[in-house]
Amino acid sequence: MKFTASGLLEFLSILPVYDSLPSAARRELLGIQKPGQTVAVADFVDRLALIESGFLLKPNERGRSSLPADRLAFIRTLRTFNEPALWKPSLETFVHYVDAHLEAAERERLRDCAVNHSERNWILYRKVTSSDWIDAFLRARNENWERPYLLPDSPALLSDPEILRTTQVLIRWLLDRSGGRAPLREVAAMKDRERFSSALFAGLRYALLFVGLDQNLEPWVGIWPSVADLAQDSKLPAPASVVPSETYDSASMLMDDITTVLIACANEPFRLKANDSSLFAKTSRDLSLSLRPLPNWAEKVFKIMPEARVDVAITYCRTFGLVETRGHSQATVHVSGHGRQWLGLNASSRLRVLVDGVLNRPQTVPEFSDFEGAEIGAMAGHFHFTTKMKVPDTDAAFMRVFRALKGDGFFPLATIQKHNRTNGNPLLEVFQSDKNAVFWSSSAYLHRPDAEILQKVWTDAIFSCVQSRLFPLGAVRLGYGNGELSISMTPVGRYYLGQTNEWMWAESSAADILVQPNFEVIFLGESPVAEAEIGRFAERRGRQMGALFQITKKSVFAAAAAGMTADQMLATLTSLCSREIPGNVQHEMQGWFRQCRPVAFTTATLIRCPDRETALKIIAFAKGSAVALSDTVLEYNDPGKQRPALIKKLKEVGVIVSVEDKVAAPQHGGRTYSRGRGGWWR
Amino acid sequence: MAASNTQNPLIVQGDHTVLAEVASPGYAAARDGLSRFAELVKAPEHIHTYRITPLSIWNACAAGVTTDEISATLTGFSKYPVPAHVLIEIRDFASRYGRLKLRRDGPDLILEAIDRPMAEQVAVTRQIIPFLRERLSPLTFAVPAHARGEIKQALIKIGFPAEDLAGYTDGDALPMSLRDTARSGHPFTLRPYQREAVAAFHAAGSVGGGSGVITLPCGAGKTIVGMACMERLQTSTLILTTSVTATHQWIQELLDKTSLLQDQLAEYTGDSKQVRPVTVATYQIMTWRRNKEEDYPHLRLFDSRNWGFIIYDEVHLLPAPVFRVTAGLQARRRLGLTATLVREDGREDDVFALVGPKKADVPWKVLEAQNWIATAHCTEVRLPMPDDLKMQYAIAEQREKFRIASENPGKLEIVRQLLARHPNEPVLVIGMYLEQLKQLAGPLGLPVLTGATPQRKRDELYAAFKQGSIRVLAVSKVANFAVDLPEASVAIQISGTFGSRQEEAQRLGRILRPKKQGNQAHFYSIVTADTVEQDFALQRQLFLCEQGYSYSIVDMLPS
Repeated sequence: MKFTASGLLEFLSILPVYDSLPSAARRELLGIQKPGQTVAVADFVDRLALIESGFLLKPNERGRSSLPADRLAFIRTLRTFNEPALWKPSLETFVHYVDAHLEAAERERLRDCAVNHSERNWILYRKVTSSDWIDAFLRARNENWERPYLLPDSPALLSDPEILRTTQVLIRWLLDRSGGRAPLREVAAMKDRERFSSALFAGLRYALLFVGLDQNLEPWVGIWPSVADLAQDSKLPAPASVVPSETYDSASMLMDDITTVLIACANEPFRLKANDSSLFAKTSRDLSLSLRPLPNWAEKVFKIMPEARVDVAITYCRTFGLVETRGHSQATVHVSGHGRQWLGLNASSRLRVLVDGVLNRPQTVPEFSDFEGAEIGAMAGHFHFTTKMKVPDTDAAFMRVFRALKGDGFFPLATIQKHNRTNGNPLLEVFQSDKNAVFWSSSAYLHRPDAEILQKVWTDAIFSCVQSRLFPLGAVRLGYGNGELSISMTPVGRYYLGQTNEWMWAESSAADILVQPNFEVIFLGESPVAEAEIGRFAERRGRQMGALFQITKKSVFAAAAAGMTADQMLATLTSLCSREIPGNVQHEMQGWFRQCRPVAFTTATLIRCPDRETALKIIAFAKGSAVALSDTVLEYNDPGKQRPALIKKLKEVGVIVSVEDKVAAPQHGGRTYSRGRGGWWR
Repeated sequence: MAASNTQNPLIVQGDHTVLAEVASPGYAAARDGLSRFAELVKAPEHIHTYRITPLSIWNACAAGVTTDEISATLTGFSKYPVPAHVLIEIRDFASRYGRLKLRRDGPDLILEAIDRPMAEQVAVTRQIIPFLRERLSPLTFAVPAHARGEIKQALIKIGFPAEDLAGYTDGDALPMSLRDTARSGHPFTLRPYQREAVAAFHAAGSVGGGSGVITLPCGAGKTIVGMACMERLQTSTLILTTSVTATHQWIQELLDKTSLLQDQLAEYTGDSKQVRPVTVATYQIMTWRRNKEEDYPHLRLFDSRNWGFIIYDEVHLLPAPVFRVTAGLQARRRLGLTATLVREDGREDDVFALVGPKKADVPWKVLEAQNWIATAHCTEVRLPMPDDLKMQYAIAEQREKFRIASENPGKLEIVRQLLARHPNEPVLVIGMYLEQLKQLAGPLGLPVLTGATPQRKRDELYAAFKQGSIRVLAVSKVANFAVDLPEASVAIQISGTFGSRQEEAQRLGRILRPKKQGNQAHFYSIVTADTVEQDFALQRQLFLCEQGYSYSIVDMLPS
């Protein structure tokens, strides 16, 4: 090891002098590379400070100065502290650190197992940066703990029980410190410096402690950050509720979006791109304009752009079978029977179908009882493990995070994440128990994960679940204040978490919504649930309050195409509004609905005959598959694909059939190549 | 969400619109406060929508309303906290008014800035530079008198309306007074709101008054207000109206209700081109020219006399050439009369700059409640398309479809039934298609008044209708504007001009004059169901509902 016990003792004794230096002078001191090197002093204020504190000799007649011999050991140790800096703890910085501070034999002893070359750093890293390593040491009663790690012929460092105890005291003291580290001067100021320097030496030798210089070149000592975090997180109090300055409550953004998309689709089926079966950009853009806008802060924090919401809604529609794709080369998306059925449900039932489906629970809405589940899962991303341990239930762990939020107060999401990064983190659980476990997160292999990475993966998953499950499904309300996002569990959220089998949406105050004779639906207060209901048959014009919807002929047609009846629409309005629906509005809605006529487009073959006699002949041969539209034009329906046989029969009686089917020429994508003279075609 | 008072009537939204809940106990007070600095956009049954714009704030500033009062009204009557940015922007809009003032300095004008940065901005603004003669001091500029209108227009376009304190020329004196008893024998006095409007316009003769716009609903007596303003100013007056009929009615009203004599009044129209101390002209004659290359010869009328006062009737219809002339007439006192400040061409700011700020605006609901205008009920009667026309309709072009539906012969029977329903009330039957009007009038024995009817004949018909010797009059769109038929209490519209909202408002306006009995007016629209006519009628229905009229639909369809 580069450090020595005596060197550290001397270092601690001189440290108070170094500590009094300004950081610029410290930088000057570290800048002097060699013991015999001389530096100019005149006009260098910082170097004068070094002379005054005894870190530089008095200048010679040429105004140059050099390091005094009695401080060379201190400076050497200081430089060792600085190399390499552990600014950002990771496997790489760890390897640099131990390579710089420990001999190869020392590292091998610490590793205490035979491994191949490529794995050795990794194994050592996993070992000494785990809380087990610290825990085992803190439980040690005597020097037996260090025996496996001692080099042959080397003296035991912890044979003195006082040194062992002091090292343990030092580590416990650091575990209580923020970030698990402290300025070394605080150690230097402790009584019995000699014992502490020995404890420090032992701690560094066995990678229980780590040292470095901070930005002001002040020496620090600490334990590995993730171990400190683990210890400190376990002491963190549960997140406390806050009062955000702004709140946002969507009954369920996802349900709203799916409703909007389905209504639009019922009105005019979406054409799909041939290459990837996605929506055309214009369709997506147009749809996004009709979605209920989110507050800017919610869009920013969650990075949910309206076009992305459309894509998500379409994906859900497909997953839940609410739409069906027809055709191949020019495919279109249509609302399915399930989709129409879903649109006909009230808002609570529509959302219940989604929540039950996402969680693969038995459907509680009778109309969807045969739905087999969307197999989406509570977590936004999936975790997989290869481990000898029992695979933890990550969905359950995720649920526990939010079940712990009591009442309907708002809790800062960042605090929730912090509180849970180690507490109940199922990834860390595996990591701590099985050093050879392999992790996948959302199908991505985690290459050599460490505790920090697994903490981050888990806290990201918590955020991602709020972003893509809880918030879209209406399981949480959002709050915002001082740049901080907070969440509050809703009754839907309790249902999602399995804490209740039932939920009731608070009915909007009837006085809060009214329909005007000019077909505007006015919200005098916020009522996301009512928005979700009315959005099925009215065009959105605003958000939160004011004239949020306009009932139009087009919107009523779209709702009718989606399977709603005029009575359903009017009943919804009547139940939500405080005043009677104006007569002209009722009249027009019913009138518009009456104008709707279902028309089916089917493909049939027309047979044009030269005369009536031929037409009759064909009708006879076709055996009920041909119907006369006029004397000489027949409609031929061929459910049994009998057309070739019919043509053959007709030929036999002298009726020559010419087929005029317009078969679309195959379309070729990509470039067309011209064949130049002398090209390969010759 | 911060604390709220849900009993309050207003919701102030971030886009500067304000919703006012009519049923709230505080509504009337809130509306009175709001109407001083916000424009009413729509007023359907339950919730009225106002909009706060820079122009509405400048109008308020010109009327002496302070930003503190505006803020107090909004915050005091709002259900929820007023968005902070709205209050900030209102202060910003208001701070722009009065930062520049136009004053008279001998023959020229002085444009005076309130501070140096404002003056520098004026000095370097490309649109303003052409109107500045020289810089007189760090804060003042000389402006030629003839550029008074143009510089005001340019300043409002850059968002800094000038307060015009340059005063007016007096014009030729014209002694006149309003009568206590009209020549027709009826007692005559100004209504309270008319008196207040006149006082606001006149401003005790100060330079702060003398130009502006008075907004009153149809039937509220805008002509009377105009005459009262003339009485205050006692100067020769040019009155611009929308039609010859309106011209005649102005002259009749002036003769009936003022001390002016026939030889003091003149009509300047296509029929007659006399100029006297009070001359009434039409916008059409002012903007007539032989071809597009020529100037407008009749615009000379503005210079043909030393007018002291110009009245723009239906100022929201002021045509562009008259705007241009008006820019050169800023030394004359000017009054705009209208039922709405909203112009189809969006030139509300030009009205503000060239005619003047809004001086009075009385909500029609207030007048209706006080019985100054009639309560109107609108009914859309739908009838089926006759079977023999269905195929013709189905294959017709869109425009032709509208005509086929409008000329549905079944409408005759509906009109007959409606006339029977109102046996003792004066009725106007209004239509767009002359053939239809004639075909309908024949069997019903109705006199028809169209654009082709000679003016003398028109005046006779109007007079007979007023006197009650004709109970039902069939009129084409010529009767849309400024026809005062105070006795009409029922209007039956058998065909409308597609979805024109303006026309619908004007047609309805014909029957809003207060009635001697009942004060209830009925407006019927007969449309053919499930046709494009119904679609266009829907637009008109929306408009009327947004104006606050009750609207019902009656189906005369086979069950």
